[in-house]
Amino acid sequence: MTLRQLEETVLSVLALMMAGISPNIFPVAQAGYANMAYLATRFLIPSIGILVVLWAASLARGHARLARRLLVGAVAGIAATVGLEAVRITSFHFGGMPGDLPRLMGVLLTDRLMLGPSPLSDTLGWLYHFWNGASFGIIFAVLLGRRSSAWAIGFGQLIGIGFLLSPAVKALGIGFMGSDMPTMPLTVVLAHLVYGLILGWLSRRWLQGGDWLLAFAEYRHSGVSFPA
Amino acid sequence: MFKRKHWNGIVPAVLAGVMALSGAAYAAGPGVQVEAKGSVEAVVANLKKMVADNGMMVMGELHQGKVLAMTGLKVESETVFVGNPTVGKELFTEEPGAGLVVPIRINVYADAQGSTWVSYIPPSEQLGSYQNAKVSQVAAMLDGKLHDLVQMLAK
Repeated sequence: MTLRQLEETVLSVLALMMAGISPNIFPVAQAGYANMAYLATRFLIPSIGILVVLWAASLARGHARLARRLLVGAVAGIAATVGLEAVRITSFHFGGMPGDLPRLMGVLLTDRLMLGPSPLSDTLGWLYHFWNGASFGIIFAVLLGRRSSAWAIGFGQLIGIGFLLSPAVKALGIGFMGSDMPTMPLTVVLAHLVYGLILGWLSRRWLQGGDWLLAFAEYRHSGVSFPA
Repeated sequence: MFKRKHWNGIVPAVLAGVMALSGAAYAAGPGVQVEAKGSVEAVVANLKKMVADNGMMVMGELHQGKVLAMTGLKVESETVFVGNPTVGKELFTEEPGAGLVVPIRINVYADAQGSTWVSYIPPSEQLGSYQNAKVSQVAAMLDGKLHDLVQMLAK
């Protein structure tokens, strides 16, 4: 492995770690380990800043492939979240979901669960929700790049199942993986199916390389150099 | 003479009788329920001002209506937790477990007909179970304060 390859790998691993923080603070808070407002100020906000720095560093150091994947992942993730929301909002409107998740995340982020939502908490809740979508998009793009739709659908379903198994759903009191409210897991599966489809489609359109960013062995054995 | 246990039961009964004679409207449900003038929002705003005027303070708020709106339910309900550091000190000195009862929660809600109600459970009903004369004395004082407070909001 050359120094450049090592540098790109380190930047990629750091980006994956930072992108992994946002989706985890909600379940960690719901599990009772820490207040979500605390986690947001101590971990979420710094992680966003570090991701921006990593993107800028990737560009500055000539790792155009990684920089593009970070950007495409974030944008495709946000776009895919719009699709996910179309399913979730519709289901919530017809009573298929136990609550309005972005609003709940907003009151937890602003530490005002007892007071209920405010315009600020709603705004932050929605921003957090979309940033989660962007974070998962970054993870997909950095890890998998330009993979087939089947990969993206599988990735979306993994997120959905992870959510259903998380303390966030347990705290809602609707049984294991929402089994007491079948419309809820159904909505989660459908919403993440749409998320995966959009994420995969956009990634295939916007990314050029279909190679693994982190698979050193692939390069070592094939002798293919890293594309700039 | 009355045993303490009997006395604890008599205080809320007498208060309920006094309230019934005062002409205010009452609803079924736990504790004391008094119909109030104005919307839930207006009554809560008045309540907060009156709490201060009656030697107590708002120690916390719970907007059940807004919280439940996140589940899609539309309901008007707000709870205000009121207390007083001096009274709290007295109670907790006597009974370290008094935190189950104080600060006292006063709920303001709108019923299906749109009428606004103020409700609370008289502290004597819960603090009486400690079987402690000093605690019961404080509880009776709190009952009186809450009664006066709610009467000012009554329709």
